Amino acid sequence: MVVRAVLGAFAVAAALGAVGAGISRREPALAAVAVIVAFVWGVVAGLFLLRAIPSLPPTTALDRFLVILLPVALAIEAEAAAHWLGGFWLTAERGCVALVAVPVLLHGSVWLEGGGPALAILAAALFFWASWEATTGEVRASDDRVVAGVTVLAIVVAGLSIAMAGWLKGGLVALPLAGALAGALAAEWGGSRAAGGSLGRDGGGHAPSGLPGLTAAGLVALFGLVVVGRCFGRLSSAAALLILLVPLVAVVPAAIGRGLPGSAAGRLLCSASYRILLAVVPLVIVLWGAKADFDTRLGRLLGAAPAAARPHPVSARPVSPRPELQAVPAFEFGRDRLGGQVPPVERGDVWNVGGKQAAENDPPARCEPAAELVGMRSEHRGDDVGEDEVVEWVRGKLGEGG
Amino acid sequence: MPRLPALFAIVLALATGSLRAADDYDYDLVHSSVGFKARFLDISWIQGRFNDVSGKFSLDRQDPSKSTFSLTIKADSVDTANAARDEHLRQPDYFDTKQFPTIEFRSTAVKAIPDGYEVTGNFTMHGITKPVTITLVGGKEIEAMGKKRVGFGTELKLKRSDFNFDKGQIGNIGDEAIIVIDCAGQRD
Repeated sequence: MVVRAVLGAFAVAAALGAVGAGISRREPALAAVAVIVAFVWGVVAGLFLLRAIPSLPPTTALDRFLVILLPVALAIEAEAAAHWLGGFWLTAERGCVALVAVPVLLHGSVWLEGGGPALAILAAALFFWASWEATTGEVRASDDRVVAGVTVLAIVVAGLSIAMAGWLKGGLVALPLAGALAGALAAEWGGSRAAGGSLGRDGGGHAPSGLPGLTAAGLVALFGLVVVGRCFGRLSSAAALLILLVPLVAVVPAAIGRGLPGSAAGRLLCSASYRILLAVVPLVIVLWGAKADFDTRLGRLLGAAPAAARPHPVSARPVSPRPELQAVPAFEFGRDRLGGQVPPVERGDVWNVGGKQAAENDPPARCEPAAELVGMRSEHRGDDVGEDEVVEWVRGKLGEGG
Repeated sequence: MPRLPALFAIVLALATGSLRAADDYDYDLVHSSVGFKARFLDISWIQGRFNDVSGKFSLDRQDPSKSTFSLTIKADSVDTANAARDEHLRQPDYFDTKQFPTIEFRSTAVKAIPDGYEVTGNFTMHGITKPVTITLVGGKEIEAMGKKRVGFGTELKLKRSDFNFDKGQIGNIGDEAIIVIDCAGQRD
């Protein structure tokens, strides 16, 4: 389903972008708007295929990101692409969106109780605004696709990190966003190859282009995902910051690189290579950290699932609330200490669910020890029952039986 | 004429005295629990509890319809005896505790039944409020440890899908959840 959603988002965005750009080739502004609209439809298709259509009215942060923040930002970028507004008004609009973005995403949550962390929200807004202006300005000036490319990568890494930290839906939503952005960028690139420059640009450098709009769309998508992943999921602050810095890492050396000596093509290749490398390094670090966290926490939990489904003695609810004993099923250590007196467990036994459930699933004789242990747990409910007590109890029961 | 306000005050005092037949109890966190369980892969139950619960109930034994019950559960206090799973349950795929920090029940109608009370009220979880009717078993008041105490128990079956939980996460963990409430109230 995820692969289908990503491919669907890519295909729809690429196809609509190509068609739209082709139809409106003589109208640079329309061509630029067409690729942004194609991105929108790519996202819609991807979310539909992922069965992650946001609810209306939006009640969660993810819904508000997809229904409010992203469309408003895309509308501003469409205005910019069509040159409907001047530079000052665009900057002001972006500033307003950046200022309200975090409060909108955190609306109604515990984060905004008592006014919320105003300084942190203001800092995030300023960072968002500065990144937005810097990247779109740089891309508009240089027709640079590297920034948009690494933003796609950053969105993918953000999504994977959020998913591995435990918020599956929040993470997976990022993937069709990245797919749609890649599709729209491919359409823009194809259209620009056909037109002999950046799509919508007439060679004079003054006509609108779809590339800054798509780069900004990616940046807004990345910012929204990282904020909701950090505030509602378990994305760490360090990972969030590293991911958000990636597009800037790609922008800053590009601005410096233009002053380097050598041919234009050589400078472009050299600049693109080291910027991609600079951007990939933090993303790899973030991904590695997310994987390590997954392995130590959720991976263990998910890895335990087949074991729990396997016949296994009293393990769903630990006998002892003491952390050091929680992972040790009572019957397991009881078996070792009792010298194998406990009957072996076979497939189909449901030892971990209590006597009633076990009796429903298994022959009574086989369930008996588990039921007795459950009985012991109910006798000692709320007590700090440890290994010694369990072993002693089982010994007593076996002695009675014998 | 000056006697009129005094008379009015006496009547008012008598009237409020008769209205104050209800006994107000605070939720006794030490001797109460709110637990839950849900099916795991449809072969076993995952059990857990909420450690931070507060509430109040007012019992009018003469006129039970005037009784009220309220319970507020801090969703963040979910405890399944596995820290990793608890963290997972707090995230938006499940309880989304940063967005929806509390689970609440507020009674709207109370009816006496042989072993306790039938309570209808609004149950709010995950931002969705739905009317539910629960049977509270208990209600006998005793005096112990220097306080008057009363206790109730009930079980409530809910479907997570009715409360807008992520449908993608309904599968391994069953849609239906059983909430088990054993609460004690106390008053001076």
